Order: sequence, then structure tokens, then C-alpha cells
Amino acid sequence: MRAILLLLGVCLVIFAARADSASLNQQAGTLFAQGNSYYAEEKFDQAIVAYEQELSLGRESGPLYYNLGNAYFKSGQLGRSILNYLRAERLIPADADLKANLNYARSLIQGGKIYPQKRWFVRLFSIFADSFSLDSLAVLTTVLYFTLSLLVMGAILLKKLRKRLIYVCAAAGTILAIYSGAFFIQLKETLGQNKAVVVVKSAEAKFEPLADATTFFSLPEGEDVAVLVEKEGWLKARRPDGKQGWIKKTELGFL
Amino acid sequence: MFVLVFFLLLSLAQPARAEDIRFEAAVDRSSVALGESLQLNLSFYGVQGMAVPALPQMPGFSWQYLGPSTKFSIINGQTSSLVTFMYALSPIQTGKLVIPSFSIEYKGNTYTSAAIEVEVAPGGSGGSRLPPAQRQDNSGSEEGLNERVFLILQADKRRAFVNEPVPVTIKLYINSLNIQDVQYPQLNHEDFLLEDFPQPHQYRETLNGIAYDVIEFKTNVFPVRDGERTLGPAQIECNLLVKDTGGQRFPFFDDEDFFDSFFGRYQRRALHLKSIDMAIIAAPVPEENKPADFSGALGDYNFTVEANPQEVKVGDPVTLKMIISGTGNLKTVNPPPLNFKDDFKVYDADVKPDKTGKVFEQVIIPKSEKITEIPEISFSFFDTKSGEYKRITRGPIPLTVNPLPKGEELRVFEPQENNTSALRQKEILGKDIVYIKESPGRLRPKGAFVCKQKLFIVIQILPLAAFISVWILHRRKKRLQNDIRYARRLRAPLAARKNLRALRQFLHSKDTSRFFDALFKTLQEYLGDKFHLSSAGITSNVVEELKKQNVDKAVLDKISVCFNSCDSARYAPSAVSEYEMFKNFELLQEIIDTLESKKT
Repeated sequence: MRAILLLLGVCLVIFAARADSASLNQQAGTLFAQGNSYYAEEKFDQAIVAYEQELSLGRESGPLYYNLGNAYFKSGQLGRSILNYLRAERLIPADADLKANLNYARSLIQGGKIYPQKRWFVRLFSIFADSFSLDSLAVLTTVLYFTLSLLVMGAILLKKLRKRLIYVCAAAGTILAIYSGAFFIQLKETLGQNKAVVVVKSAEAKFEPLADATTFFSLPEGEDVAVLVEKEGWLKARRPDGKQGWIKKTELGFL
Repeated sequence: MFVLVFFLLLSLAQPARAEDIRFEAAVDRSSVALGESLQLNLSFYGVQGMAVPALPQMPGFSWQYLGPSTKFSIINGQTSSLVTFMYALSPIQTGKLVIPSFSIEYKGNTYTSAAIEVEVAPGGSGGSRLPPAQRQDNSGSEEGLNERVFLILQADKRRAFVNEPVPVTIKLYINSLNIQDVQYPQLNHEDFLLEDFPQPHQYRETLNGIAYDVIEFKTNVFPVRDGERTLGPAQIECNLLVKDTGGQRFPFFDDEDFFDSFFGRYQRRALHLKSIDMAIIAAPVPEENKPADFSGALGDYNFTVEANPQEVKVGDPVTLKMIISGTGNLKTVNPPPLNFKDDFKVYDADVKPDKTGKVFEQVIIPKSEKITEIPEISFSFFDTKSGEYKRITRGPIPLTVNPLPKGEELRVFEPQENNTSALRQKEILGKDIVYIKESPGRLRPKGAFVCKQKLFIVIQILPLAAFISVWILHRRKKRLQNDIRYARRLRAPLAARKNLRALRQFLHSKDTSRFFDALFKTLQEYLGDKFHLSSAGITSNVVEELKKQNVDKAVLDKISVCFNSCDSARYAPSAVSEYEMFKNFELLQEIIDTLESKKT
């Protein structure tokens, strides 16, 4: 039994260390600082270039996307601004500044942002999911899962404490169920669907992936869609209200 | 408990006094075709245990007794009883026939009913001979329907002053018809104000000898203009339930109510009932002796005034509560005028409707410490009963006004638009994005989500594997505790191998007697544990027992050989060679290995 506990402990420590090291940065981005100074001087285009260069090095962070979103906003590119705010949201979802900026940017979408009708259980779990990033939820649910497993094993082996441990297990199980639900919703939101944002003033969604096809509906800059299929430079996209149409790939920016 | 309730009911059911007893005769309709029959009901209110009255001769009718109906009720401790004797009357001639008045004697008193007129038409239509209860369903035909369901509009008075309440009653009479979904009445009231109808009242009423169920709606109207004004007609929408005589329809596949399929099929027919209108003469209030402060209040009112607090500082508010209660058109009652606006700052009155009248709460602020009282306040109204103006004066109410402390200025709050708008002016906030972040946070490889790492997935299996292991161990431990056969079988090879190690030592030391003793004991213990036998009693005879447990013959032979060798060695240890010791050791090993390799 001791051996099992020890093994679990070691695994958890290794996993946490690995997760941490994956997101650790060796050096703070110098390009990021450069972008910030350009931004302060109101040279927003140069700031965008600096932030994009930082990203092209294959590294990302919530504040980096946030600052890039701000720079795009100030340079009048609402679509790309919202796109980067949404990218930042995946990493720092609880950030109040980000929420404020995203809401403000979305309020400027022509005709107003279309919000999807979520099912009741999605809405319920979203209360927890929206406050955590996918990584945080992954670690949190794993820790809860390990804790619950240890408690269940304890309840099996320790006859004297069994009654008390059953109550603790029930409580831990409920919390785990809630956060697992939140984790899977966040997982679907972040990795499950190919999200994109309209980055041109107006994108036309057509019935067919052809230039002269009839336009079904148009999407204003900043509106987000779920990309379903790609075909010869055209993307079949679904609007939050469920309407689907073919949009030119160049008119969308992927998250 | 039930017995107690029964006796309580009995004690309540006191015999009615003679003045409480009432007798009525009624028919279910006033016109009938020859060949049809009508129902005569003789109803006795407040009687119990009455014998069936014998009917006298009725010229033009033949009759048949149908049976009695008894009603007994206790409402708020008041008992009431009703016995109705029902008769079927069949006219035998046409024309206007009269059912004579009946005189019935009950406990020494004679009760008499009114005579009833019945119109008997020739039975040309081949009058049906259905009993009344069934005939009502065919009354969906318009003929006679107007007599069986109709609307009456009544006003308590035909002359009234402008704004004076006129009680109005709308009665829906129903005679032996199934009327449902009765809507609230609509009353044409162009020159009148109309109050909402409260809940209707239901009762039975006999009209011209015919018993009706009555639904009564009561309200008040107020003439708004003088002169002769028309009120009504009143109209009511309802449904008449009539038996459907249509063709056969399949139950369950019909639009009608499910239960209609079982309990007879009925149809709803919309009925629109209309009363006749009436004229009400409205007179204006007289100009003569009209008080100057009269503001249109009509009725009979009482007026009270309260002031709170009665000791204030200059500039502090005092609330005047003026209550006007009584009967009349409260809508026309305005707050009494206050004629002391020089000394007080007077705000608009706050009106609160009350159950019995109207409450006006008015804030006044004394402007000077010289004020000692709130002057008298009067309320004038026109009493419609006496036809005179009346004036009620209240006050003066003593008021102590203290001067302001030194250095404090009188500030009377003026609820003017500028002030309120200044207070309520909305703060206008700018909108823009929040500034950039100074630190890049934790930069990490793009898309390196924790949950995408293989280690993350692998690690999820660990608790599950640990849980399964713990569960298996726990089960095994429990079985070892509870299942001795299993525990011994599990222990058998372990103990045997331990003993084999000891045997090997005896073999090397060539200690023949100890070797064979140990060999015998090892074999005994092993077989005992393995087959759940008593180890102490195991000898070469065990072979017979093991045969029953399907042990291989070859193994049994080896066991026999082993036991025999042990026996021989015990009696002649010097005759045993080292080779034989070694051979027996190997034999024992083979026995254990063979038995362990096979599942038992």
C-alpha cells in the first residue's frame, strides 16, 4: 500500500513539474517589451509587428495576445483585435481587463454580436469553466481525481474510518463531477472546434464554395464562426445561431 | 370521532320554527306542447320527514308522482333543509291552463302556494314523450330557449344626481339547461362610469311559478352627464351544452372530450344573451347653497384629520393624514383644500385608497416659529339621501414650532424640476479599451496544452490501476480471513517449499531419521493443506481419499511410495542409502510440483 501511495505521489510530482516546465519561459520576451514601447508611443503598426514576431518564435502567452489585440484595436482592425482577445481568453480567461476589452470590442460589431443558445447543462458548467483556463482545469481535475482515488482506497482499506470517508468521498466526487464537466466543456471550446473570426469589414457566406454563388448571409467584422470543412480556399462556417455558409478563407482568422 | 360528529349534527338539526317553513310550487317551463309533459316541483323549505302530499284534481292535467328529493345543509352552524316532491304533469287539452294553488298542512299550520299558468300548444310537432330530464338536451332549438335562459338588467333607482352611485344588478336566469362558461357581462355605459364586477352570486329563484337558477352580477354605475341617459343593454356570452344527435363517431379519434365518448356526446353551442336597456335620469347637483370648497364629492362621508408630529422645528415637515370614509363615488373625492399656504409650505397630497374610503397624506412645512396651530380644514360634499350640501370641519390642531438653532438657515426643500434633475443627473462615462499589460506572463510553446501531453493521459490510468489493485488485495485478504479451505490451499506450497529447504539440509548432513521424519511431516502437512484434510491423520491410506478427488494415479503412486519409504526408514534407518534419500526428496518435489501445476 505504501508503495502504491509513493508511486502515485512521484507521478503527480513528475507530472506537475513537466506541466510547469512546458509553460515555463527561459527568458522574458524582448520583442514583447519592444512592442509595448511602440504601443506607448502610439506606433500601433510597429507594435503589431513586434508582437507578431514574438509569436512567430513559437511562443505564446495570454498577455501577449491581449497586447496584440489592443494594438489591432487601436489600429482600427476590429476583427483581428477580437481574434487575439479570444486567443488570450484561452490562456487567461479570468482576466478582468481582457473581459472588459473583449466585451467592448464585441459591442462595436456592426449589427451586434450573435450569441449562441447554450443548453442548460452547458450554461451550468460554463459558470465554472469560464473562470479557468484549459490547463488549470486539467491540473485541477487531475488533482481532484487523485484525491478521490486515494480517499476511495482509504475507505476500502481503513475499516474504522470507512463511514467518515464515504461522506468525504461523496463530497469530493461531486466537486470532481462539476470540474470534470467544466473541463470537458472547456476542452470542446478550446480544442474541439475550429474557431475563426471575420477579419475583413464584411464577409459574405454563400450557398456554394463558388465566387458567383448566391449569398446566404453576411458576417460583420469581428463575428466568430465555427469552421466545419475546408475546400479549395473556401471554408464552410457555422454562425453562432446555427446558419451555415461558405466563406473565403482569406476573410477569416483562425484561433 | 365519527359518532361524535354524528351526534353534533343531530344536535344542530333542531326542528324549524313555523315562521322558517316555506312552501313553493314551480314548474320547469311555462309552455308545453300537447303530448309532452312538464315537471311540477313542490318544495318545502325547513321541513324534515314530510309525507308525500296528495295532489288535488287539476283540470286539464293528468299527473304522475316521480319521487322526492331532499337537501340538508349546515353552513356556519345554520341548518337548512329542503324537501321537493316532483310530479310529471301531462296536459290533456290545449290553451291556457292553470295549475291551482295547493294548500298543505304541516304540523298544524297550513301553507299555500301560488297558482301557475301554463300555455299548452297543439302537439302538431309530434311532441316527444321523453321525460323532462332528457328533453332538455333537445332544447338547443331556438323555440322556447328565450324563456329558459334570459338576462335581466335592474337598477336600484332610475333618478340620480350626476356622479351619484346607482347600484345595478344583472341577473342571468337559467331554467333546466346546462349552461357553462358564463363570461362576465358587458354593459353599454356611454354616459356612465362603471365599477368592476365582483364575483357573481348564485341562488335559486321562482319567477312566475317557474324555478330558475340565477347568476347575479352586482355593481355600481355613476352618471357623468345630466339628462335622460340610456344604460344597457347588458350582454353575456356563455355556452349551452346540448346532446349531439349526429351520426356515430369513433371514440378516441374524435376532437371532443375523451369522456364524452363514455358519458354521452355533447356539443357546446355559443349563446349570446342580451337584456333590454333602461333610462336613468341624471340631475346635476343644485347650485343653491353650494359651498365654495365643494369639489364634486357625492355620497355620505365622514372626515377625520391627524397631524404628526405636533412639535417640530421651523422647516421640519408635518404630515397631515386626512381620511374621507363613507359611501359614495370615491373617485370624485378630491383632497380638501388647505387655506394656510402663507404660513406653511404645502406639498401635493399623496393619495392612498383605503377599504372604506380615501386617505390623503399631505406634507406641510411651517415657515415660522410664530405658528401655534394648523388651521381648521373642511370638507364639503353633497348628501344624495337628503339632497343637501354638508360640510365637515376639523381642527384647528395645536402645533408647537420651535425656532431654528443659531447659525442655521431656513431651507425649505423645493421639489422643482431643476433640483431633481441636478440630483438625478446621470454620470456620463467614457468607453475605451483597458491599457496593455507590462509583463508577458509565462511564455510557452504554442498549443502546448497540458491535456495534449501523453504523460497527462498515462497519469489518468494510475489511480484506476491502483484502485483495482487495492480492491483485488482487499478481496483476497477478506477471503483469506473467511475461507479456511482457500487459505490452507494457498499456504500449502509456501509451507512445503520452506520445509523442502530444511529437508535439503538433512540430506546434506545425511541425517536419515530426521530426514524421513521431516519428509513424512512435510508430505502430511502439504496434503492436509492442499486438500483440506486433518494433517495429523494422514498416512499412506490417504491415497484412497485422494482418489475420490480425481488426483492422477501417477501422483498417487508417488505419494504411496513416499509414505512407504518413510515407514521403512523409520523401522530400519541404517538400511536406507543416501541415494534413496535423494530419490525420495526428488519424489516429494515432483508430487508438490505436479499438484501445484494442476488446478484443483
